[in-house]
Amino acid sequence: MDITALIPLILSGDSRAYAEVVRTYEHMVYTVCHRVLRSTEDAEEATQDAFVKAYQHLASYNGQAKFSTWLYSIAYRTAVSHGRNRRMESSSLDDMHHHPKAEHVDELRRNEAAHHLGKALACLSPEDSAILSFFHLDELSVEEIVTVTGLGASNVKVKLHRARKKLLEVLNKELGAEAHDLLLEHA
Amino acid sequence: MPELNDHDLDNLFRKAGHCVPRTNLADRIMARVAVTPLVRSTEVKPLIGKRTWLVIALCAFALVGMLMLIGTTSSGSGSGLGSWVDEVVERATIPQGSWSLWVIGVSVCLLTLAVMDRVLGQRSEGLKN
Repeated sequence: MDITALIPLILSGDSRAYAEVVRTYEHMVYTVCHRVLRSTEDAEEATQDAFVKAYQHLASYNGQAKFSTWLYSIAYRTAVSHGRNRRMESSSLDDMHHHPKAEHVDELRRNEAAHHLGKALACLSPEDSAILSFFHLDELSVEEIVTVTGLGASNVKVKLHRARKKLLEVLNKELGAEAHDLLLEHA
Repeated sequence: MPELNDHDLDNLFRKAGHCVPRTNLADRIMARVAVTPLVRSTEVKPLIGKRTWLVIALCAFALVGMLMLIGTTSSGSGSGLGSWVDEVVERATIPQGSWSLWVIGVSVCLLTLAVMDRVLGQRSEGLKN
């Protein structure tokens, strides 16, 4: 479905059209927020904020970038901002951040691959984790990642290279056999 | 056991897919959207277009240039149309060495007009909305 065709409808006040946008991008936006924040509650809150911001400023979307890239950009910046605010809050919330295993219980039930990947991504910085996700999962180009994150192209390439190398190291060392079995099992 | 490579990483990401929120997140988003007003575009369309401004700027600089040129080459004598031109030139001739002030003055005027143009454009957009 062409999402950009819904924009005039949304701007004229059709909330059902925006519900369609939310349904289409809900998981993608939530994934970005979860990669950055690593907490279900915070990611859900950031996802809500991102969609509300996108709705408020929909009139400023000029169609130069893809709609998904524009939305990712809002989601990523909202999540980073949430993360910054959270760091300034009480240490009880920080404790949750330092125990990624506890955050992946739901994922373990839902999907073994997601569990392994989440566990390995928890070893990377939130920014690197999000960049890898953009590249490998959402198949964003380096240029699109530059638009989303606001980082320079060379910086994105370096981060992508290093993060990928580190993730492979973690997967090979700590989850090597399990991850291999998983990939072969579902190949 | 062979080590995982970039291709395996692609597979793993695809297999894992997107994270799934716990509950009815979409409904909660739409509940917030329902009470959120849309922010209208703040894009301003100037009343005078870029091309017109370029023509005005060229005319202004041509006028200043012409006055400078005539001012330095004028003989100061003649009759009829010639004397009228001389009179105009005499009144408008830029004193030696102060042409840069004229250029600055003209630029400031143009800038002021451009700002006024944008403000008026913004107001008219606001009235339309």
